[in-house]
Amino acid sequence: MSKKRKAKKSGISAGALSGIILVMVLAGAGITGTLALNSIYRGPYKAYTRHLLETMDEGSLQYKAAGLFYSQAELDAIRNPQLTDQSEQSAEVPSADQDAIEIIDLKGTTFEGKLMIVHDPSRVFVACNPNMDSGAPGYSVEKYIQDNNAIAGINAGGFEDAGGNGNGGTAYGIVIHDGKLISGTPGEFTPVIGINNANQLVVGDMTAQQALDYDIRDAVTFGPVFIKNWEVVFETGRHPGLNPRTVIGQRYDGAFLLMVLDGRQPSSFGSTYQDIIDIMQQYDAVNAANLDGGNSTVMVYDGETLNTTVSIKGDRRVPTAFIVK
Amino acid sequence: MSKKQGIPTGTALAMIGLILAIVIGASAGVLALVNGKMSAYEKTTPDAALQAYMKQIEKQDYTELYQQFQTRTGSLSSEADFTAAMNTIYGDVDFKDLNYVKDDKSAEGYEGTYGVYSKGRKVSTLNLRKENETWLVETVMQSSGNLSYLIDAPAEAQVKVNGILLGSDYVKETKVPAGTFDRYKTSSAAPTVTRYQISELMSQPEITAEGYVVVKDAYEERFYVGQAASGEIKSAGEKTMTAIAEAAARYATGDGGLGTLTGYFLSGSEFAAKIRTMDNQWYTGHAGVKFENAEVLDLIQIGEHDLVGKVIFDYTVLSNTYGNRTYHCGYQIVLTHSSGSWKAIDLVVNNDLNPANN
Repeated sequence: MSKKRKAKKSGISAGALSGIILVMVLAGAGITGTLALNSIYRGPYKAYTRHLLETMDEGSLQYKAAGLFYSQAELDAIRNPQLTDQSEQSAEVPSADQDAIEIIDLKGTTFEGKLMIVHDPSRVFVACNPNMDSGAPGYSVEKYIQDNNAIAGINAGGFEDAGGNGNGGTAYGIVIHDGKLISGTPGEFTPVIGINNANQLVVGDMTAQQALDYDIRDAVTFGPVFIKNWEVVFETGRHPGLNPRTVIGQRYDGAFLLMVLDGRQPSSFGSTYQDIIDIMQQYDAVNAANLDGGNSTVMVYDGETLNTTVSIKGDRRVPTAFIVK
Repeated sequence: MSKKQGIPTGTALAMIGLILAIVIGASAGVLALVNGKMSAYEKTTPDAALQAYMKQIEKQDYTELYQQFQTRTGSLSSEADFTAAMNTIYGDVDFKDLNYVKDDKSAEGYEGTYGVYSKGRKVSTLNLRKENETWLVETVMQSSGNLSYLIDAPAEAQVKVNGILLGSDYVKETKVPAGTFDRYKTSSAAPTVTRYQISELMSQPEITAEGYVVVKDAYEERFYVGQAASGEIKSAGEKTMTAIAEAAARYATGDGGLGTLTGYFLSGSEFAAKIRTMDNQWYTGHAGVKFENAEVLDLIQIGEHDLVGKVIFDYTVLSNTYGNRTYHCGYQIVLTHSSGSWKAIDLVVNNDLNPANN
């Protein structure tokens, strides 16, 4: 009997070794390639990567390789960024809210005061004593505001006030309210401070009938007129001195300027006409006129009196007020 | 008997080890080459400088950036203002994945302005320039500030704004009457000062001058540099200012005469001329008045014979009928020494000086 001796293998065959080496080299190349691509497309050298992504040709091998690391949307965003320049957007100055009412503190060398800027001129009206010229007293500005469902107001025209004891019942000059002559006669020629149906402040000397013909819906009598069509029309040389002041003006964009300057008090001695003109010009008034000042000067906003009235009794009864609805 | 001879195991393992080492070495070499190429490219671009700058901002490390800003622009704004302005620009920026896009791509080179984009939205503009082979980066601010001030100081005073010494570039006028005399007709009597003008400030600055006291005017955007009043001058100044304040308040409410008040003023004073036109007869009748809590603040000497200071006080009008009313008042008063006594040339109302109003 012959026994075949099994062939005895010693060591590793050349083929197996070759296979191992080949696998190692291929694996090494694959790992190296992956690491290299990762470094190029997602590595720390962002400037290089961005430059590569922005400049590679679509369909190129580089572009296809990039597809392994980025979605199509990401690639598109990098190559064609949709960039918005927020600085251009923010350069647009937002216009003030048309419904806005601004209150600004004013200071001069001898006075303090308040300026109310009403951006929507259609909100400003004249409120008047419902019992005008009957002898019945006028109301406080606060009451005119409440009765008309308004939010703010200042005193407006003058009234018969012998000895400072007037009750605001009888208006000085003319009063037009809601397009009707409430006080005064049609032929009465006085300084008129009014608002027409285009919500423009109209100032000047005229008769009541002329004011109605000019389409003025609300008006009072007082003065002087300081600024008319941008020009200062009042000579301040012989001004009546330091006093509390109430003033109405209108800006080029239609915003009303309602102003009170306190006076006759230790905390605010008063202002001159020149002070008024300076402030109205500072706030770009096209027209501006004086309203009844002195102890009548008052500004009310949202139930609160914003200035310090001269009298420690509080504000006076007046026949008319400019109110803001 | 046949015997297949393979490569001895030891030899095979050695060969495998060698190949492995070669593969690893070659791999490392390739990766080093690739990274080296990218690193070299990056060094030619300013991205590293831009990113380093944004890293500083992300950490809110503004001190060095402020110094750079101040050196380049000569701005007098404080570091706090600069920090506030930077926080306004970068406060809500997401610093991950920022992109830098040159505004003018057609321009050659890297210098110029770059938009900084976060998620496609521009958050700021950077200005990039090269100086001594170093990239310098700075945020372009819309405005470095819009506040302006005057400073009246003695000619020899070294005036600093936010710690920065003012040079001759900021001198507007020399040997001019101090601003305290603006409302007094006879300016020839005024002490003379050097007037500085500073502008483009983001907030009210801190003004200092060694050896002097600096106070702000109660009406204008102006500072006065002077000596702190002391000794007899201080006590006389305080007494006179307090008396003037009381006289003015009493005149307004009808409790004092006009002559008493104007007697403290030199003729030529604008305030004295104006107060004569104030009619005090309309003040409501009352039981009495109280002048209390008077205090003189910020009293300084401008020149040898002139004082400016602020007096605050409470003035109560007593009325059982209508209730008491208290005014918390503040005045700035300017005094000049004339014919052996202190006389006023100006009074300005500013009730914000009285803390009771705040």
